[in-house]
Amino acid sequence: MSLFLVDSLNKNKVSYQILLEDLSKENNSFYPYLHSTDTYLIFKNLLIGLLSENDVVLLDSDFSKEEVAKMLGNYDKTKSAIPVSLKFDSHQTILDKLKETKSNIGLFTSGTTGTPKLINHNLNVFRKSVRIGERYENHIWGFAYNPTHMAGLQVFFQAFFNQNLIVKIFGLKNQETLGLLNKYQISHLSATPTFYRLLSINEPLDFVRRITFGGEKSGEALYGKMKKGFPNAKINNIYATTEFGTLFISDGDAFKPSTENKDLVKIEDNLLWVHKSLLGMNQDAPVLVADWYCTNDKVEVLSNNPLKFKFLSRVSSTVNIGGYNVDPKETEDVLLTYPGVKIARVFAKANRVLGNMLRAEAVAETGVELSEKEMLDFLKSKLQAHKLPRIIKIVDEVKLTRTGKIKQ
Amino acid sequence: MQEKLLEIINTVRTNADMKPVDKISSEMTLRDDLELDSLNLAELTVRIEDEFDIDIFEDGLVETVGEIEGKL
Repeated sequence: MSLFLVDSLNKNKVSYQILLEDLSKENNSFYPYLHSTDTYLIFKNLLIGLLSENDVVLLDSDFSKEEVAKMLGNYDKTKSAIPVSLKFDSHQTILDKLKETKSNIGLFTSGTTGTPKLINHNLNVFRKSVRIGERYENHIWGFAYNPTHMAGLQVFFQAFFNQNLIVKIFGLKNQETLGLLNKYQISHLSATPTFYRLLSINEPLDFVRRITFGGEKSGEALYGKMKKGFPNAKINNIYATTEFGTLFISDGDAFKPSTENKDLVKIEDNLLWVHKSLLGMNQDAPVLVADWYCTNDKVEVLSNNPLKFKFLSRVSSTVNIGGYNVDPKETEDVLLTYPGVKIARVFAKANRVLGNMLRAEAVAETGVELSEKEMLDFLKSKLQAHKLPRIIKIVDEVKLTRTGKIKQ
Repeated sequence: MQEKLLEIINTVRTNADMKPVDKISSEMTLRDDLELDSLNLAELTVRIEDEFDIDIFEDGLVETVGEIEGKL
């Protein structure tokens, strides 16, 4: 049987046959709150959960133990296991069982209050965008997303429902990444603009047929680089959110709703609104105004008939850092708990590599000498890498607004 | 100038819990030889800009130490 997953970081190569056998073990264990760096384990556990009608909560492998304890109540929950017994004799029987499952997949997102909030999805939110058929049979996926995020899951289900190979190309050196792309003749690449920005391509990879961006605003320079490096690839930009799954797919930098969706999208004051019928199920009902949901995304209208628009920026306080939605306030709150810090300000600044980057300024309590490295180490033990300020300046005063609030 | 660049690179490395390097050479690649990931590179560009007032990524991806030296 064909290969399912290649994960060179964890030295893992798993075929669909092995996966089938692993899923059909008599004494299987399901971990509702698995916290692991092993991609195969994450996918396998997710499948076991869905197939046994259990809810699954997905935790980023790089959440610190403290963050996880805060989100779940205590860290020990990650070790709790439920005994499960399943039996499958073919990949198709797995897919048939999957289609019936009522269990939820829980994802964490950066809420506006600062602490990540749990969003529950039924498998349908992911299946909505999955295309199955003969023409998808031989796709080979270069996987560069986090498997516990919306984008990563979309790719996983697309690949899984078509029995495609997934090759993990994240977190590797440039030469290794190129080596894998060539070795497996990867046809479909899905990654954030940051990933493509940092990819150094020596010779054009003409076997790649499709590239998808997502997660960040991309720019003209990047498209140029992609067209040169992947001359035969079609380029798609995917607009999806953790809360609602995929809403639009575009060709190039401009989006247009499909013909069925065109009356379900509207732009008011340059903000994008979508009709509630486009949204999937959610645990907390979104705030609607007369059946419409405001995405808080600022857009530039390119044409009205047919409607075509470009994304400009987000209005909310979260910023996109290398594909991750980050709330600077969350980091600021943690920095304020460091002993010796009197006032702190964490803010985002535009950055060519990641889109945005966090910086911080801190004022010390009288008589205290602060060290940038020590503060960074402190934050590192409490927060995911993308939420860390890359530079912390120790200052005498932090700019305040007229009302005494810290200036953003 | 090379000394300052080495200092900055080592600051980024130690912040990422990597050992500082003794010296840098022009052919060294940022991502592979110096083991900098996307977050480290973002930090590097900002520290260099703070020190030298130059945006090294202005014209696109910079891969080696030599390319940085060329822009400074």
